[in-house]
Amino acid sequence: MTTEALALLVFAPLVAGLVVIAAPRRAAAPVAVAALLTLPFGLWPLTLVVWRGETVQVALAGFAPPLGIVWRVDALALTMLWLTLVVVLVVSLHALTSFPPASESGQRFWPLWLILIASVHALFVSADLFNLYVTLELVTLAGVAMIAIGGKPAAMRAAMRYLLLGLMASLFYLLATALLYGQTGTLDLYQVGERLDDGALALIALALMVTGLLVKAAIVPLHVWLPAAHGKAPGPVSAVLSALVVKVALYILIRLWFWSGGAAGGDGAALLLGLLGALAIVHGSLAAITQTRLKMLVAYSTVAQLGYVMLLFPLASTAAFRAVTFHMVAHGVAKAAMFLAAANLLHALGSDRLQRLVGADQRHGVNVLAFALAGVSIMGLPPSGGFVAKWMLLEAAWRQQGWGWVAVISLGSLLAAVYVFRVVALAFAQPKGGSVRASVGARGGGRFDTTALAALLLAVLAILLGFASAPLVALIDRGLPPGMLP
Amino acid sequence: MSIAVALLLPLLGALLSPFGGRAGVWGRRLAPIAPLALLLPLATGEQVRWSWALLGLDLGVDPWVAPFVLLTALAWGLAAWFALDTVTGDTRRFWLGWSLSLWGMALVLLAQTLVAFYLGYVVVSLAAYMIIIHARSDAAWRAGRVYLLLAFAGEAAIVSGVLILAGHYGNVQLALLATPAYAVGLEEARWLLIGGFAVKLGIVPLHVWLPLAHPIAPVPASAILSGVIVKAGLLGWLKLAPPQSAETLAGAPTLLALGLLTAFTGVLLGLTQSKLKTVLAYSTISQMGLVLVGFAALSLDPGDDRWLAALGLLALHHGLTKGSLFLACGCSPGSSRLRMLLLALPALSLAAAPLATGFLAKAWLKRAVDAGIGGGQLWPFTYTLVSLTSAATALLMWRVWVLAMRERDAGQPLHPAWALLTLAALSVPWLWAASSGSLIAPTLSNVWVALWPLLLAVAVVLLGRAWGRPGVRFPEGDIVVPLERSAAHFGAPSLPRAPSVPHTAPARAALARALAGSLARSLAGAEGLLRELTMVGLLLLLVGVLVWLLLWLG
Amino acid sequence: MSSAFVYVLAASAVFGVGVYGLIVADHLMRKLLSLNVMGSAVFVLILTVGGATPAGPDPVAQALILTGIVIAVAATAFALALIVRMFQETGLTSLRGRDDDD
Repeated sequence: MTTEALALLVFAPLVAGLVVIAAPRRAAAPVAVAALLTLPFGLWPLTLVVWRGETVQVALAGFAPPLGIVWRVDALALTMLWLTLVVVLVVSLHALTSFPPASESGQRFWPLWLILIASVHALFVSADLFNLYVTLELVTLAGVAMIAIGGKPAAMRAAMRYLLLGLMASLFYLLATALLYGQTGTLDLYQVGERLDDGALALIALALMVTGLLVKAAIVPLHVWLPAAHGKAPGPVSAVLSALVVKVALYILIRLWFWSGGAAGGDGAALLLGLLGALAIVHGSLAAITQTRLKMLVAYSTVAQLGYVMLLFPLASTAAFRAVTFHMVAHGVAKAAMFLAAANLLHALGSDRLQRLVGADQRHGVNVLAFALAGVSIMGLPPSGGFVAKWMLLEAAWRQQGWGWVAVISLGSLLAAVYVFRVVALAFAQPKGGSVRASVGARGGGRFDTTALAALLLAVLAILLGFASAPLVALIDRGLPPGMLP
Repeated sequence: MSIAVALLLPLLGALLSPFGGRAGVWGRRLAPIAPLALLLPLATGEQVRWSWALLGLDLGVDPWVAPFVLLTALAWGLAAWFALDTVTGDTRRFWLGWSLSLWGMALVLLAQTLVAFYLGYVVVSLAAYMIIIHARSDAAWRAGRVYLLLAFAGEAAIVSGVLILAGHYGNVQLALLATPAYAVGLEEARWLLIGGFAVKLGIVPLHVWLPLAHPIAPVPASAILSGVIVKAGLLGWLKLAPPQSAETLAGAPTLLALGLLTAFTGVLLGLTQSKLKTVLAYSTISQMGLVLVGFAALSLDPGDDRWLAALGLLALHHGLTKGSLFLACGCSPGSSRLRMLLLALPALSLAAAPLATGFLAKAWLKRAVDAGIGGGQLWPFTYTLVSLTSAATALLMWRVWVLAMRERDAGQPLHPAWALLTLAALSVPWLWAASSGSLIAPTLSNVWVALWPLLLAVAVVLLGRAWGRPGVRFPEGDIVVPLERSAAHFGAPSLPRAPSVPHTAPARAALARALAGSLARSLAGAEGLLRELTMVGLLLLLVGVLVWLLLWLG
Repeated sequence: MSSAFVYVLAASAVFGVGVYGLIVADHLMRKLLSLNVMGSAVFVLILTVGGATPAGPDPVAQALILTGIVIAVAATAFALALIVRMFQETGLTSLRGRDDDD
């Protein structure tokens, strides 16, 4: 049962993606929707098993590792799969309108979209280093292709930069994988950790792998590809890139550190990773404050929010793990909502320059509301998911008397309040002369369509996450890294 | 169940009101009903524990919170009825702010755990902004700006205090904070919390936003801002920074002095105002000074529950009375005898005239202070000073009367909600006192104690007529004006100015403009440099080698 | 000096050349070629560290390299397509210059 469920998660979108390429245009929408709607049925049986505290493990086609492929789902993987499912389903609702499957743009979008979903799923269930490499590469390639989909010069450049850096980072990772395999004779995430000794070669391998993943995760100062890539991509793509694709690299980094013995590398390296996170929080927030374009602002906000995840490495406690995992989910949902709302505003207003937002709430109230609600979560105000995450993180830092981390987390929320409030205040402002300019809303603004609905759905979810935090925390607690006690 | 209803109704209203059409209309119709739903948990005494929500939510009406709940239900409900018939302009945002602040207030009332209270308080503070800027005039933007600045400053102090408490005890049960076992964290957090909540109450010198923000809102919104929402600050004091039952608070006499200062300053500044609603706003400041006096008296003698009940009574009396006085501003109080009566009675009550509800509240306040004097912790003349605040309030009410008599637009209808709220203000505190056993008999000595300050005020008014009033005028918001000027002089960043200038100037928010200059350029420069792949390569090497080195060392 | 060590040294040197080329080269084609050079270095390394066991060649290493080559080919093809497309749209074959548009 679980084998089929796992296979469904990976192969349903993959096959659907290939079918959409080959089949006539009319078939695209039903095939894509059908594939997406099967995903919950794949995830549900897995959830039931993992909720009992067990781990799902499947050797594909019966081949044992290391030659065969092993899929494994524990609570952390399941948490990320749920995040993927929710974000992907709602963003797909947006894409059904913004990239109609039967249209020219839809024909380019949907195959890539489905393949991206399949790759992300495959990545989260992979249990060995090489599989992670393959799926990471697939995720990157699909992501790059989707950024370039619109064909605008700025987007192409952003995609190109992302591609080059992404491929380089992958090769760092692959090189490290080779070294680790050479030393341990295994690729399995767990066994690598057990067999690893701290010789020079292993350390070089770890350093290479961490560095490569830092590039993929866009941690300051290696973040330069992200703002343009996320800021210039089409709305649904930005949403899923910020919500999921960067998290993928962080997920691998956390696995590597806490499951495969990276933490044995010592406190110094962990501290460095934490400091990079702190730098990301401050730099990303300040850069977001000074942006003049909405989507770039949101993209820099992602740079800042990713920094919080890095604080897990120096804190390295159960409380911090809980908080950071929660943060990844909360940020994913809120940021997807924010990007969708920003993209809708960009579409309606014709430009996402901030000054064009004046008075936007009159005609695009739903999108502004969605942005504001998501902003509440990003700022970490109650009752949102972001609040719960930051609260738990503060508590974790407080318990270890990490006053510096406490200060950084608080400062990050304060700066986030500034950039979110800047946007909301402009949108609520009264345009001079009391009337909205004629051009505004010329392109179908004001309608309550599915694009606005998608943004609002995710935003409301970002708030609700705070209320219903207990089940998620319970799920996270079932998948703590080895050695951490609930 | 009853708690769920009380919380869901305002939330439903908030969700519906941004929509136009039918949904919006239904959302509005909920507005007068939703506050009444708060009476349900009061009646059933239900307690719930939702451990799945927000790190654990414990909700219920503590016995001493009951008068606050009663106040919110009555004043907010009647004000909503008034608002339904009078508020114009962009009503969607108004009702969104209205319902959201009610939701926040309900949480503040019902919260029994730290996070729940903080959530409610934040929601009230932010949603109140939407009501304050409703008019969207320059004055409204200015009031909103000053409000936000102070609210954020207060919020910063509160969140620091909340975090200290949370750092020690997690999402603590608020009732436990008053017990000695929790003294350590509370000692660290207490003054941050007291200071932060003092902003909401308008304690001098943190009051400057109040005379700008309360009057600029629509009439019914002023009524709830001044009558109900300020009490969220008091609830904050009592729930998050309660006097510990074991010992008296060291700073209590200072707090009491600050309360008296606020009470008299509010009146003095209010007397110089020429707008009815602004005078009433200053009166709120003055009354909140009395609340601080009560809080200080409670801190001196924390074991005695009577003083806690006295604070509840004071809040109930002031909230209903001030709500009624603000609603009067929307009904041309000078245009008929009946209206004059409906204005005069609550005004006299606020000045603690004998037999009015203010008399009752003031008598309890004086007893609390008297107990402090008896304990040797206060100077005896504080009792006289507290009595004199009634004379001061009476003078201010005279000013209200004079200004109100100029409003004689008979075309403005007498809204029934005003009349009902006035009746409630005159009766409900008595009923509450009767039901909770805190009646004060109107004996001759009691009456005389309340009467002489009024006679003193009458004498001052008569003398003032004879000699002419000093022509002093303070601008609304008094010291905020020179502060604003100096801020402008130094180019200090300030929160959203009316950003309505997309054509004339590059429309960046003011804060960004202040930061933008150098910061934006240097950041943009750094980003541009970083983006060059050569730089990326160098940084990559740097980070890689650092990671490796530290792994090696670690 | 064992032959394995020579291979490792060679692979590292080639990888370094690739990184240098990727960072320093201006033309996108050169950058792409540099990436391929890096990839080749990694394959050599995999072959070295796992290639020869006493029981004969390690099938896992072979599988890794084969898969790696497939991915490298796909990525290269995709990057080439993107470069061509970018040249058609912008007339540029490098990433220099500012990002802002419209």
